[in-house]
Amino acid sequence: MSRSDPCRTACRVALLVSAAIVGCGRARAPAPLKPAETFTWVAQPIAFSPPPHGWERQGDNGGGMLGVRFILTGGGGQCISVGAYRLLAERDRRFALARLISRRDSLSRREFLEQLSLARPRTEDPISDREAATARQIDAALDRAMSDYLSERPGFVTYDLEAALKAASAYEPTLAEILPHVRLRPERMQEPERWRIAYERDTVWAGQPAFASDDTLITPERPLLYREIFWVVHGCAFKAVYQGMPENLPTFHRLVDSIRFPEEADAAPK
Amino acid sequence: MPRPSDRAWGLVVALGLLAGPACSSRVERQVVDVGRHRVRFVCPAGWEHLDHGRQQLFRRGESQLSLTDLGPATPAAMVEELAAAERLWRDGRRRDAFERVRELRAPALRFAPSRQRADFWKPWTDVTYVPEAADSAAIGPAFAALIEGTKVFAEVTPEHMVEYVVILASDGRGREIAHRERRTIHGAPWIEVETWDRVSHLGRSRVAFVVDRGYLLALAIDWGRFERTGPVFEAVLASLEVTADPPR
Repeated sequence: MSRSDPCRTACRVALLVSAAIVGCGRARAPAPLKPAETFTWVAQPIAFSPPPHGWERQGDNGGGMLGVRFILTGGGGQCISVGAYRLLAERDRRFALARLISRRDSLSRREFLEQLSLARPRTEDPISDREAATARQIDAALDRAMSDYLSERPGFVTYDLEAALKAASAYEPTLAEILPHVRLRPERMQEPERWRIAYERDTVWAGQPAFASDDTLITPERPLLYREIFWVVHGCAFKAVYQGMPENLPTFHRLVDSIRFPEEADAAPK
Repeated sequence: MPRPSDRAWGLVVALGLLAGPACSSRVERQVVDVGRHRVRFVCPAGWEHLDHGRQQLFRRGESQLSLTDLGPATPAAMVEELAAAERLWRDGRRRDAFERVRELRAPALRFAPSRQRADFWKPWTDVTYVPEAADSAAIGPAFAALIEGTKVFAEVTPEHMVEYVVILASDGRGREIAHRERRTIHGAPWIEVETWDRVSHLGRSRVAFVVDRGYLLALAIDWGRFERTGPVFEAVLASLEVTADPPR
């Protein structure tokens, strides 16, 4: 036996031990997210990969939102939700006006007047001065359209409707305009003392400008992380929320990383 | 999408349907008339089959599938329906004839502009507004006007055809199409559509349809857990054979 043998043996043992330590210490790969799905809650679709098995899905249709919530089974209230602001999206009159223009010739008098009134913008509680001005322009054009229709001047009606659509198309709400109406304000919550606002920032997520806030929700059982991310894409507002423990936060981040805002044509049914 | 595994389960169930009875006797393929269609199929083992004429039901516990004649798909088939109603009237069955006209539905009618629809029905409603008082001398020309009126409808697009079947099969509930594909089953060109709840993508369901001599035949999941009904739907669909023979 050579003099170097004990040294080699010691080295081999050390390597084996360190390999075993590394092997044991390596974190288990997280369960993969589910295949991506595209949701069309509002005019702008959103696509993302839902969380893995163990997060139970529920539809969310309340508070002016449409969305989906994933609740961690046995997680004591931990959940991830993604949703769109339906009521804000319905303030956009472009679709209603374009449809009215395209169907105008096939509508009876009663139907046309009904559709004209349904195409009017909401003027109460505007989200910004720009939106209020746009709503006034649309309203004025629709007033003229009704007057011209009742006076049987179809050429003018076409012009009035086109003017209304042009006014509606010239405005798209921005994240900065919508944010004051949607971001978490503890004083607006039922139990303001439960919320702790921490770190808020403008950022980019899913390739779009976003506003993110890292807050805390104090529940009777334990404090929970409360993360919110907001986007406004093509005038449609979206929100992703995580409410839970730090160990499940990576699942939320992976879901958010999978979010895409496809063009409408890309999101058509397969 | 978990579709491949559903398809695999469907094949397993289909094999079960075939192999199960084969152990004891030959596979029993039933022949039924579903409205205007004559079909052969294998009833899923353990499922109850109810023959309601235009609709065949397959039930097991809280689950149900249906195979339904959804009526005319083309203007030519609309003419056939109206001609059949006219024959009833000429045979002296006025109420049956009127009811048959009243029940007329077709994708071309559904997606026509409201004014075109109103123009189509006008000659008929003018005459039959009070059915008991309808003038017999005017009913014949009203049938002729309805039949002539079918010529104005535009060709139905495949998208409208799918939408029409989904609306009828889901009873008007807001459903979103998750997936659709063409399949050839026993030589017939079926279209299979998977739907789900628009908001949550829960509540998956399926409907498949074929246009057979101008009329729609649809197999649909009516209710039940998709994990249970999906494979049985697949098995029944795979066994369905629309025959060339006219119904009895």
